[in-house]
Amino acid sequence: MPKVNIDCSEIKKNQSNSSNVISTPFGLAIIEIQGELNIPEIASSEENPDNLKVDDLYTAVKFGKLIVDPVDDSKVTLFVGTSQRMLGKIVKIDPPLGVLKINANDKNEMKMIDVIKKKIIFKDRPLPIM
Amino acid sequence: MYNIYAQTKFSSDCSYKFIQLAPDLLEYVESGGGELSIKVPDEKKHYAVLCTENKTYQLIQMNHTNTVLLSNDTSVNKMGQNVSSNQLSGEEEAKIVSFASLSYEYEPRVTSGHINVENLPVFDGQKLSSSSTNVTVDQILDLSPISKTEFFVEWYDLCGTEYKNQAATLSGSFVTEILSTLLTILIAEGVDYRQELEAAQIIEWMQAQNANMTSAFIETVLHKFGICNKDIVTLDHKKIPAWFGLQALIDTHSRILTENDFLLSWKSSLPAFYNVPIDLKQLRGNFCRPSAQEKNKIQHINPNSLSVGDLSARFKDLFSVSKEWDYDEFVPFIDKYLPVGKKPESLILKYARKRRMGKKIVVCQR
Repeated sequence: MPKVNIDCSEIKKNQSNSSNVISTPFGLAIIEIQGELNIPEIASSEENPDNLKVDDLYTAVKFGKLIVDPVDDSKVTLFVGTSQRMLGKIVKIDPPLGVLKINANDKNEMKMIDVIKKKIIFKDRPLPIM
Repeated sequence: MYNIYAQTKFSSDCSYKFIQLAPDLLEYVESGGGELSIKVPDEKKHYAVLCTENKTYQLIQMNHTNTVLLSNDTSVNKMGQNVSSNQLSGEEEAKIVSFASLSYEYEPRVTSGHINVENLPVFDGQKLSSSSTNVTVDQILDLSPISKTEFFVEWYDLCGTEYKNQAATLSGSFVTEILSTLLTILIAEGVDYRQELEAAQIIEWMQAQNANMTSAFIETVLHKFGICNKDIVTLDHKKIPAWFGLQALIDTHSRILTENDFLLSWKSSLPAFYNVPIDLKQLRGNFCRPSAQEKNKIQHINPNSLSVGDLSARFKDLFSVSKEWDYDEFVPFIDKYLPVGKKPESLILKYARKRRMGKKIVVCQR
């Protein structure tokens, strides 16, 4: 693989201003948690109403509810289960991050699908829900 | 309110990487400025690079220990993720689905790029030297960790050319022959060689003189010793005498000779009636003064024969040929290896000693 061209054609198409504070106009978001998040490797039950089916191939488990502060939209709270909440912020990423998508079957196919300029970050320890 | 989900398994059909986009790269990407590519050289000593049309960035992998989830907001969903819920009914809630976890991001850092011409055949004016490497210039461009614009500047500087659709370099003696022919023709035609010149006219005159000089060879020399703007060339009359001086220095075969003797042989190597000033300062980084007693005697050193990578060894090599160096004559041997933002003093103070002798500053061993 001496040289791989990166297709950036999507980037120019998705430069519209979006009022969405969480994600980019393309729909991508970064959630950063300081520390490790243990996501189960196997979903508890395929029929669990909290689970999602993604592209009919993968199971996604629900791990929280995210609420944006109605007064200050840079503040968010993530409720994990019924007992924990995490306070987070939506911060500017400096420098912004380009998202490269690499085809696993053909390493010569590389695309920059989006540029993400903000992320949701949770820096503090979880707090109990009172 | 958003429900946050994470896939229990991530897709094996594709992977995702983050790459930091500094303001210049961001502008390039957003404006659709041109080609963007990643080059992974075969040689292990070179890093993978990101290339725009005219800049080269070394890719540094920055690891982190945080959980970073790349997620898709299904209310926008331009990724086209097909999400179905197990819930039988209920109002449709906004969902964010994490589909990749990333443990590092790439940081592109501006670098100078590199072309490896070591294995390329050399054309000496008659024939190509034997070589196992048979590639075209376009293939060399793809294989070299350097951007396109920087490639051609570096390529011509390394005397790179094309012969019978094969990438090659020109031998030093053949470059000198082409330069001598070029200057002699310009002088004979009564053209002021300091003015802007037409490349096509030059090529025509030179091929009429010597049919072996292909336009590719002549273009290599014009690019190496001039500024080319489309079909107009302005020759650099500092680079040209420096080239003749370097060849004269190489031709001494490391004999020690006085400055005056050398300047005489340098001057006589220039084409007749080519009147440009020459000064030993132009050849700094290629000679030393081996004797502390006879400071007017010089000797050729090939900078490529000195240790590369280990600076301590390079300093040792330099002090093995001369125990004392004039500061200005020493610096050109090390300035290529200066870490970014560092001054030569920092390296000299680390590996050697600086002394003031009258008005001169001398570098010597610790």
